[in-house]
Amino acid sequence: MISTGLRHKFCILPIFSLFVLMMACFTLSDQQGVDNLWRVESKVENIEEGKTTQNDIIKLFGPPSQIINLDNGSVFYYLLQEKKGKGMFLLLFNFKDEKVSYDRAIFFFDNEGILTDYGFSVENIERK
Amino acid sequence: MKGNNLPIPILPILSLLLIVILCSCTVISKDINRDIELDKNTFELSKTHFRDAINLIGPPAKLSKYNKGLVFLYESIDINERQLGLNLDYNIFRWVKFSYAKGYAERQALLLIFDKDGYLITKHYKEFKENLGSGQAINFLVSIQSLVDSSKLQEEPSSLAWGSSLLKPLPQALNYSQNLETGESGVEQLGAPNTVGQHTLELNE
Repeated sequence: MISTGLRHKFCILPIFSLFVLMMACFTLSDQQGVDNLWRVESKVENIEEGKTTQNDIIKLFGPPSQIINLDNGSVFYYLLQEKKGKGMFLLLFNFKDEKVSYDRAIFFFDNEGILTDYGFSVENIERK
Repeated sequence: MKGNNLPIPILPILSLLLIVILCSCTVISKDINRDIELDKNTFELSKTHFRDAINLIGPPAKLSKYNKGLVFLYESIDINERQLGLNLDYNIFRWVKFSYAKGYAERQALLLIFDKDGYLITKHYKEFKENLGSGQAINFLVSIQSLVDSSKLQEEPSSLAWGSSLLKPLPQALNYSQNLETGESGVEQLGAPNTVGQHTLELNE
């Protein structure tokens, strides 16, 4: 039979190992850019091609990350960047894994400032 | 003598040796942008409108006006770096490691050019592996430091740095009308050398 003291020692060992391992772990997370309000359904449902204006879009989503001037209109480009990573320092082996994702929205306007086309990225960054 | 025929435990000794000598091997990976997943015939010349491309794969990483039309550039990059670390268990050297690193990037690029009516006139998709070279260093035992220069592939979109972009050196500021980040003078892939083409007048070193 295993004595209680020995059983305690067997319990402490994995806990201690886990503690040591956890000390060597890290995660990182960072967001940069505009708030991805285009993922809020109530804000998007009223957007209509041929009707919505540049002013409406700015009121809904704020100033864009970039405005591009075209010959036959303009583009509002919204961008949110997210970096997420994890890593581990061990004596024999270290690793660091990082993923950079982008949530984008794009709106095309004609010379009168009326929306002609728009779209959102397939990649979706969860709003905090 | 019989005693001399004892089997030598090669595997444990070798393992122990490896543990002592090979220390702090490191793997660093960075995944930038979602992979481009599409069929060869997804986009058809003169038929696909830019709105179809946006609906299917979302807004591009970079876009610019191009003649009377538009150019879209989609990019995805996976950077991988492997480091081999050697450590000597002697005096002050036990706190440092001697590292050798090799890196490569797996890249995808999709270029779509549209005419003034928004219909596709050129498309090109390329998947390629880029050698990022190697690097050596002596660094602290418990540190993860990239030793291969992949900074050119990790440049953030210019729209995230609009404030600092106003403080560029004079040759770059004077060349602003040809800047490839404004969306009005074309696009370039990440990692393109900054001493050629439209960058020439920026006098980069």
